Amino acid sequence: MDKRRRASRRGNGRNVTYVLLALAVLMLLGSTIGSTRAALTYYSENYTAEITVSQIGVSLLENGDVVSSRDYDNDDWKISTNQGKDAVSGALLKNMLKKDEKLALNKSYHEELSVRNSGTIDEYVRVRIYRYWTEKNSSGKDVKITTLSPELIDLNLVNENKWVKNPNDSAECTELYYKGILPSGSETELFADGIRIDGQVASEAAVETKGNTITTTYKYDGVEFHVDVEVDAVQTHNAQDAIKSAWGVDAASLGIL
Amino acid sequence: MKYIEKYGKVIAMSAAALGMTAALTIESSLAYFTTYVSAGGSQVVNLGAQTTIHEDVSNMTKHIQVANISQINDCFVRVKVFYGGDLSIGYPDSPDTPSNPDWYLDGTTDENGFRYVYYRPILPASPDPDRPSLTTPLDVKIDVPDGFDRDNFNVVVIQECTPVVYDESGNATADWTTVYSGYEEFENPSGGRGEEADD
Repeated sequence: MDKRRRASRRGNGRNVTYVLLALAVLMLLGSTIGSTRAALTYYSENYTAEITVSQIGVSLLENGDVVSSRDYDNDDWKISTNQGKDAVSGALLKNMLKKDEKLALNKSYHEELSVRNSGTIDEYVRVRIYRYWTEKNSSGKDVKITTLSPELIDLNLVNENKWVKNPNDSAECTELYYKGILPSGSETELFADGIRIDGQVASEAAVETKGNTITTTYKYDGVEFHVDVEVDAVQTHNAQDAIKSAWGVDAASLGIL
Repeated sequence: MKYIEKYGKVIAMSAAALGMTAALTIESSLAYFTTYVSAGGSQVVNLGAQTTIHEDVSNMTKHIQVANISQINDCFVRVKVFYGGDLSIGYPDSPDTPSNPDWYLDGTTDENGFRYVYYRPILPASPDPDRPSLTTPLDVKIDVPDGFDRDNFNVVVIQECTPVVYDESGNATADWTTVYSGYEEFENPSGGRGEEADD
């Protein structure tokens, strides 16, 4: 009985092999016919084909001028900034103060920031804004001041219906997601239009009187405020997964798709 | 061993299939088109202030001027005049209004009845330390009761300054709420008030 069963199994195995072989041959033949058809029709018409390679690119604009851009072009990344050839990062706030002008507290300075799609494909964009304070230590190195609130650096954010704020922002880092697709060559609405240093920076001072001279020394005299901006762009094809992969957020729940 | 002999091929094929699937997944993640740019900027906030007071007395009138000797920061200044119980002060043209329109009283008095007199214009910093900017004079008339020793009395003037700030309309203004008290300077091991900044 066992011998018969084994013989029957071997027979079944062979049958499956033959069926698979026949299918493979048929598929092979079918693919040959297809390519023959394609070959016949290919030469029957004249085509003028324009091939566009997908090139992603993004630029950050300050008061209408490009401060930094990074575009994929001719199989290479083309980086340009307002800092010169070798710089990979642009400079902000260079023209915030006029010549010989001194920074005044509570005064609102013109600082318009936006993003341009400088590539050839549509994209989604987001910006990350970092605000923090530093001062020079005794060896002249910049050290961060953690006792001075980043909120005293008041970057006036605008167009909040187009720029969606990440609800999990920290005081130092603000994430803004542009709602919808930014088409190739287009520019976003502004995400900021001014900057102001809160007068609270001067809220603590010590007064020293020597003769008829009074010297007021402020706790935060000589501190430096910083604003750093990062712009990220990602393709629109398969956007949900692309955004999740590149930025680690759920685009649908943020409402930016 | 028997188990491995029996299912060895299946395990090997499954592992290979899993590996290929994983490799395919990784490839598709890397295939997303992305790019980025960055930019940053900073400005220094200078806040220090240095002022001196100049006083002259003639014809029972104090002529007060304040100089801003800071080379960096503009400021607003105000003064307060203290005097003894039998004395009183006024201004040459009026008991309550300084003759010089650059100076004004804001109407509030402290618990002892003394009032600040504010200098209206900004007192700018001067790059030349030998030529500091100076307020116009504030003349304070000292009224002495009959029989009072005119050669021996005390009228003390104190002066304060505050940096120029701006209000919501963009107008230069003074914030006199600054806490003028000693503050504690503390330093971390790297020499600053906090952690070291990223380069």
